[in-house]
Amino acid sequence: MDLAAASADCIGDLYRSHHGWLQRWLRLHTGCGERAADLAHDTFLRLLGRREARSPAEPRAYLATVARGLLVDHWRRQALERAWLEALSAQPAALAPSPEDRALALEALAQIDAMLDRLKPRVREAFLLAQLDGLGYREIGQRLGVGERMVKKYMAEAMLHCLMLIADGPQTHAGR
Amino acid sequence: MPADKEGAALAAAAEWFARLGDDAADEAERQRWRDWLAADPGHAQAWARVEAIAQPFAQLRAAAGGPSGRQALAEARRAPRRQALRVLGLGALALGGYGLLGSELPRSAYWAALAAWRSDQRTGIGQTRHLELADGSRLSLNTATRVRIDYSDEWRRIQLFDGEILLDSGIDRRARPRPLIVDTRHGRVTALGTRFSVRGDEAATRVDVFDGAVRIAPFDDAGTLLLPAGRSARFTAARSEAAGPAAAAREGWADGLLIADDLPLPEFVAELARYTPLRLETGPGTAALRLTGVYRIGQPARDLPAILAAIEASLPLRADSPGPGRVRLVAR
Repeated sequence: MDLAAASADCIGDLYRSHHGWLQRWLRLHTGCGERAADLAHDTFLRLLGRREARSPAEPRAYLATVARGLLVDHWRRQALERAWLEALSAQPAALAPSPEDRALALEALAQIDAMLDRLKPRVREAFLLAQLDGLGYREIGQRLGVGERMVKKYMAEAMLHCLMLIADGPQTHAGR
Repeated sequence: MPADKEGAALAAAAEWFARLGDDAADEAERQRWRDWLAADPGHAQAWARVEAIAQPFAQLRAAAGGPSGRQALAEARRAPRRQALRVLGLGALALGGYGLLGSELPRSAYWAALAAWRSDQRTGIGQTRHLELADGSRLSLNTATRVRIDYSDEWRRIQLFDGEILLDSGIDRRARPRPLIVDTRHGRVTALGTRFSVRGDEAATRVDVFDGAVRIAPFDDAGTLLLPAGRSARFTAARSEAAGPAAAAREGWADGLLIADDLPLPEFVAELARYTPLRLETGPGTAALRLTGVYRIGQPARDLPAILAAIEASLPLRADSPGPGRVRLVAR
């Protein structure tokens, strides 16, 4: 049996034995049956993505650590959404995005937030000013109090950081 | 393609991205970039990744204008979140980063993140606060306390992250009454028509019931403990145990009173220390002393000297200061 099939099999066992428990656990922590069902689903999806053929020694503790991580991601996204809606409300109503655009934009925000998380604040700010506000290097330099050459260096640094993240991402792990 | 060559292509791609991103980039520069792209299939691959990374930014600009997105990103990163990550000792990527990577969180880290992101009422050292909740429940917060008030269709919940609360439960007038619960990192306390206090620290949660009863359910324990009025209990995530009569001190603080009922001096000093940023210590030979009294602690900065003076008057002690920010009670 190849690794992927063994992994799916192991997840299947986990699912049959513990899905009900996990959903109850999530309900206990979120107070919302629907969200609990979604997060339980996401937890198993996350496990499928890992392709581990071995079943964990303590399945419920293992499921709970994965589910907790997803819950934290969920709040973080909520915090972003709140902040974004607040920022939007300060704009003229004519610029208000449609619900579809909103969903897309929120997804984009979440991706950007995760991608740039570990960058130095100045590098991050410079990158966002260029990519989101569309400012030129001269103006960014004036805002941050550095020269244009430094801004260019920041841009390369931020982009390389993101490129390395993708390079180290799931594609590489899946091959191991 | 060997890894070092791939790395070099990525570094060059990032460099080109930085050069072309400026308004000042001219046609000659663009031509040099096209030459670089054509020089090696690896270069084109690396550039495709640059475009993939630029994509969410373009999406955001198209949907709503970028500046509001930048504001949101800055706002969502402010103090609570940074604090959460520091407490966790992790960068956010280790937290999962929206499905980019896997995420697993132990319970303590989960609780720290919850406290940092979700707490909505807090008191500083020496402050107390009294709130009336939507159902008429009255909630008091003691010194250095963080909670989240989470009322939904399913429940009336207070999550206690740090410190201590006293709760006088109101009556839920909905057709299907919702339970009133207090969650700490160790477990769940469900009110059964009641006045009770909950105090949580890293090690354990203490509950004192003054009216009605509560049910205690540690998160990792299948059993529950029914605690009636006049009793107290301590619990960890694994187990709960009865801890004697409910202490008047555990409701007195809500009226601004610090109550010592034949309390060992070190315990009283530990209690007093919760209300002040000063470090309170006890000197040798004082551990066996016991204290009985009622002290005002409504405004700690004002009341602390009076309390120390009262202790000096009733016990063979003297308060001195061995250094800045420190107060020590030593035997006379």
